[in-house]
Amino acid sequence: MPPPLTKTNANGVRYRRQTTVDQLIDEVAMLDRAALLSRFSITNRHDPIYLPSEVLLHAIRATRQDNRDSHFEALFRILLARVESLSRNAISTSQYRNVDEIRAEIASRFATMIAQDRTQGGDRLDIFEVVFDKALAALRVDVLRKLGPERLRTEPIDDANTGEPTAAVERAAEAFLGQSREKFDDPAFRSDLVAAIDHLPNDEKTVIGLMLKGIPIDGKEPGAVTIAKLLGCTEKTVRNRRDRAIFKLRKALAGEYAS
Amino acid sequence: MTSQTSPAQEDVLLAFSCENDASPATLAEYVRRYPGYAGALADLAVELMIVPLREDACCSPQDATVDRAWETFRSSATSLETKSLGAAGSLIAALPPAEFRALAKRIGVNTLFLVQLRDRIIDATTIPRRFVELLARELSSTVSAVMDDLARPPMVAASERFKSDQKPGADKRIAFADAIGNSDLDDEQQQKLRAFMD
Repeated sequence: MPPPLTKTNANGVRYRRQTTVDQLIDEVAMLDRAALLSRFSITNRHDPIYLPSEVLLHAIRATRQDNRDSHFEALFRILLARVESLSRNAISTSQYRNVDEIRAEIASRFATMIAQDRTQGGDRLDIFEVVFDKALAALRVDVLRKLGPERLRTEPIDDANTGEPTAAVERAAEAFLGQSREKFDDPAFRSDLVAAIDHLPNDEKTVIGLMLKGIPIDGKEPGAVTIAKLLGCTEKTVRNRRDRAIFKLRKALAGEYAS
Repeated sequence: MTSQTSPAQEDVLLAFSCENDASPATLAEYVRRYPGYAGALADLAVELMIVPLREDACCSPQDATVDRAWETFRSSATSLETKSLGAAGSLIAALPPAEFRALAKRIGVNTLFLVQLRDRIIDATTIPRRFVELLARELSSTVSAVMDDLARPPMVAASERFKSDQKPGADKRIAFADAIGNSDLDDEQQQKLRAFMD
């Protein structure tokens, strides 16, 4: 078994890798360098011998114990290529003017974390050995909230400035969300929907995402979790964002679920 | 960064990304604890839902972005190494008194324990690596520089230099575990230090 992670959560409990990751780390420990690089170079997640990024990161951190710099560089480059791939998927050129700057900042932040880990040790990268893609999403959100304001203006829609949403818009929104939840298990629909949601401006994307998670826009109970409270804005603002988002999603997915 | 300051947004987001239960209740709990990061946490909650559903893009390890990241890595690592080389041999001893006491507080020891580290009375081979890593971070140095520093011969007080016919140093070293028990540390400090030995 690979050595346990040392970082603890807020309750003092140590983070643990997924069992499959531990098993794969043990499995690849038997490979020579060339075979290891070959395995890590596989990018298709559906390939039966694909190795997840958690395993790759562990291999990189393990090279702290030796002096094989060329091997380290090769592993580093494969991992950073994966980081860049995830950034390209998540940060669309249709959303931000400065996509290159944002993606470069994410890669730079991650590269600096590896440099610190390699020279100073520490447990900062432990979470990436547990849930790499999700931890990278956390890094991405942090960067986007600091560098992301140069968002492109999106095309105006019919109801953008009408104030209170109309009953027809309300009904359309509810139908859209209800239908999407039912269809969410259909891979083709899911892929189209995710791509369409990814192209929404961030404030609209967050509202739609939170609604898909089942969080209500508002609520009477003092302790209730609502989108308006989470985002610190009024119910009316949330509804306007939702309506703008749904208008765009319906347009992007025209024909699939017009109601 | 120290544990006494409020966590940075990045740290809070990383912790949230690792939650098994990404329910609205978990999100609400994080927002209650870190109200200043509510918007970022909401964004991340949505991202975490979408991440597994995205199609894969492709990028080569020889891509220009990867080249730039590699250069960032090299310059960061070199900068950290250079910084520690500049202070080699005097990492803890070079600290002014106030910073010395502040360091003791940050790493959870008393000044007596830190003096024993500074004077290399604690046998470096018995010091857990994670504790060395903590020292390296708090000293803005590197693990290798701190290890080199701690492994040098013990310092001998001027008043003791001429009192013995024997060569001073090696026989005075004590194990990390013994230093924990003999340094008037309180129970919590001892417990935390022993945890580094797990």
